[in-house]
Amino acid sequence: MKNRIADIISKYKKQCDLIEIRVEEFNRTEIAIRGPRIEMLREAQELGGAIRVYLKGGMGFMSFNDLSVMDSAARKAIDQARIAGRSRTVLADVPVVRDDYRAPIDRDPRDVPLPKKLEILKQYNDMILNYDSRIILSSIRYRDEFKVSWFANSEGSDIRQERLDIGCNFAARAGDASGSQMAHVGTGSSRSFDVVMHREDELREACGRAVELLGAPTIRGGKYTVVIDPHLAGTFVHEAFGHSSEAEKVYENEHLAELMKIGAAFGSPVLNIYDSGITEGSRGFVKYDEEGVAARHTELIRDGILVGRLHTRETAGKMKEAATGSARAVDYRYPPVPRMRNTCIAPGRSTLDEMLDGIELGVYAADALGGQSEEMFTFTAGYGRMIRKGKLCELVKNVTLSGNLFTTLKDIDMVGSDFRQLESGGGCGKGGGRLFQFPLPTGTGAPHIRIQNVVIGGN
Amino acid sequence: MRDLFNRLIKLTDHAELFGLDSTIDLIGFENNRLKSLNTLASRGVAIRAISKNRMGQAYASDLRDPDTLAARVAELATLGDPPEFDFAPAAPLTHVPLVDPALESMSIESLTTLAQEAIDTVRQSDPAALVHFLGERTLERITVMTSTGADYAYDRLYFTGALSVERVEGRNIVQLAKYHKGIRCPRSLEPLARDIAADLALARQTRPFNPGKLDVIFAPAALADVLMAFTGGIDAEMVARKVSPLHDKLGQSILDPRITILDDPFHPDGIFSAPFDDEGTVTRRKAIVERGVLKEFIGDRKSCTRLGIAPTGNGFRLTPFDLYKTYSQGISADTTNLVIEPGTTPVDELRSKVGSGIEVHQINGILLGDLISGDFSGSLEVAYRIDGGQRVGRIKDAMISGNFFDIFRNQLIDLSSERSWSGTFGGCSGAFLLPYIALEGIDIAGA
Repeated sequence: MKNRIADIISKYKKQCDLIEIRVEEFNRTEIAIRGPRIEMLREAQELGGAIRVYLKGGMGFMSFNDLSVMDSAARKAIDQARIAGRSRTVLADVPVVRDDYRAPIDRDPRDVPLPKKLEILKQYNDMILNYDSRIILSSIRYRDEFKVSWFANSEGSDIRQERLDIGCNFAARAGDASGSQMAHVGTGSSRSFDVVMHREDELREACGRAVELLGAPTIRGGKYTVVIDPHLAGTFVHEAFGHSSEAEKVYENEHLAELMKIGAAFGSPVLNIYDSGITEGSRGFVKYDEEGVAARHTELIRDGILVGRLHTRETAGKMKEAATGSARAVDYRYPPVPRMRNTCIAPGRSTLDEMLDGIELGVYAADALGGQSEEMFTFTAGYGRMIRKGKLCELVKNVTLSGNLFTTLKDIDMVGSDFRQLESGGGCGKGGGRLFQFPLPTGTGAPHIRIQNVVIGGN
Repeated sequence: MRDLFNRLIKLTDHAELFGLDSTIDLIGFENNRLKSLNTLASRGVAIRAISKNRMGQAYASDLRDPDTLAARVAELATLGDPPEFDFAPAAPLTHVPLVDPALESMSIESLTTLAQEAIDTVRQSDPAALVHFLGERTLERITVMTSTGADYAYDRLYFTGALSVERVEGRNIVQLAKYHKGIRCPRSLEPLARDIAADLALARQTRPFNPGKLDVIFAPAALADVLMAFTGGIDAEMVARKVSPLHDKLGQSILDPRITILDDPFHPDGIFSAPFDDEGTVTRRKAIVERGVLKEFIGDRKSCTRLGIAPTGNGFRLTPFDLYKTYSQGISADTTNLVIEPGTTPVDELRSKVGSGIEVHQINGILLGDLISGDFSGSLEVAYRIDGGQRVGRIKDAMISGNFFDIFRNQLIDLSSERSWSGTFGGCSGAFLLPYIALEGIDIAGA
């Protein structure tokens, strides 16, 4: 593989400002269980590649999974870049990397026989279904993937790297005459199958919550002081700030760049946010990104001040900032774009009790179903509890929170010391004027945080 | 591919093969200028096989060793559960013309010219606007073979264009997007550009509003998102498991009698048209809701069998949140072209009828909730205040919520006579032909 890639690069490099080739080979195992049955038991083998060319600022990109077309794909990508290129290619300088990276693996899912995986998941499934007569449906989705990728570019980088990714989601749905309610548990790793083990306590708690939510009222809409748990705070930071840190919206937009310039005050002084590609074991762990750049720990907000953002070589080059190793693609079919890896709110000093103290009427929102972001962002809690006179009170359902990029981060007035790293079983999706890519493995981490003035939907 | 299929039927009792060969040409304009041209080519197969009444599955793009692949699927089948359904039999197909030769032969240069013209139109009306365009021309060849007799293929060619604009003034960011979706060669993207220029001028003005129960007009893109709180409930799987609130409502009036919702795989302009689904079941046009009455559920072969109905031809392999087919996804139930019959009132009159309220164009966050009960909630990403029957400016920092079944049964004001093709996620995903719909007394929370 290495030689084939090198041959094409040396053949065409004189015609390009930059040519890069990546080839990926991966194996996946997927198991889906719903109710009492295995719905899907599936394996996959894929081999595919992509060639990307920069020429006079234009970008050509060809992806394919018939490797015999590699030479003609290179020619076509050069043609595409030539049509699109009308100015000058500007890319951040990065070190030339030659490496053969073996993924550090503690317990390899490939060493766990399929019948064993099935047995483990079926036990969880039985546990969910037998938890209570009001549990009407279970759902378990497991996936593991082992990928080997080759990357080379015309600057001399030449990388072979391995990557393991494991994701598993469990869901319990309870139902009665009033309708149905769901609760989730998610887990994932880039290092060990063991994350799937010993989830019984969390699952029991989720089952209990699904049942308890059946009798819960829908939250009253309005503006509240909210305290959010580490899980939802992780989704919050991903949606509220992570996506806005991805530089492709800013790098050629002078007005937005002015608003989001380094040094701008974005949050209160208790707020520290970073995105790290080097958190070992996280699904957001990235040794080298899809441009062959070693991933870094990137500070985004320090003491409330914007100090960094997530780049590709092009966005970094044009903004005269350093590449961050966050140019990621879901797989060989897609070109890399700036993406998050493991996005975290750093721990602060407050305790949960201190946060609750003094709240006359507020909402404790916990657990995350997901989120979506633009200037306004939305994040959906798994459940909520009303806070009355500083105490956690009754359970409420349908808790969907909304925020605004420029005001909500400033409204974070307390950050907890109880940091938790969280890996979801799903992934991040991103389109926004470019090709939609989903699911990209990412991680989050956060402590409890308190936010003032949060709009919550409801009647 | 046929080679692999023949090996599969030798090794297993029953087999199904889905083959996909797709080429997507992309044109990307960023910040007013052409930035990139991409081509994504992929081909691969998804297979399902049954041995001794147990099922295993696989997908692969590397078909150089069909023997090993077939043997591995046969082995996987021994670990699976009983499939509880049969693969599709042979049946007569309805011919659907899905490849427009003019679109097929249209050069990338001509497509980029159309896009540049549209961008110039927006910029003429607002020189400070940053305009982006993502054009995608997708050609797919879909093949399905089953050991029970289906052996079909068809080609589908379609074009989608997303014109989007960004305008930043102080701390006010306006981001709007409009979509062209069609199976024919686009003659012009000017209507899209004029639309977006008009909305941009309006969206730059932020207006205050009072939260509470307000009359709301859903524009097609916002309506598509809200509709997801309905389509989850028509999935035969959720009906069979009695999770859907509609499970005992067939034949009953569930929505306002002015609402008719069709699943139309033969719509002449629909990019989601198909003579058969990705399991090889022949498709058919059907009313899901006719004049407010629930007529049918939709499903894949497994869920329809579970529910005890004939397969409806809605088993697809689609990229999540997008509209490409892919061999790497499992089968799930999806609508084809989802069509809501129009009303007779022009949009302008609909606004007059509402008098004062809110017109919602883009909502974010709805699709991440648990929508099966019909409850939805999201942030108003793009919404305008209506005053005196006119749109007067944008409202921000507000949330909308409600229950689909309650509001579309009891609170409907009217439907517009105009319709457009749209989709979920602000318009991008899926094929929905929708009118504007006005409803009264919708919960809007905010500052």
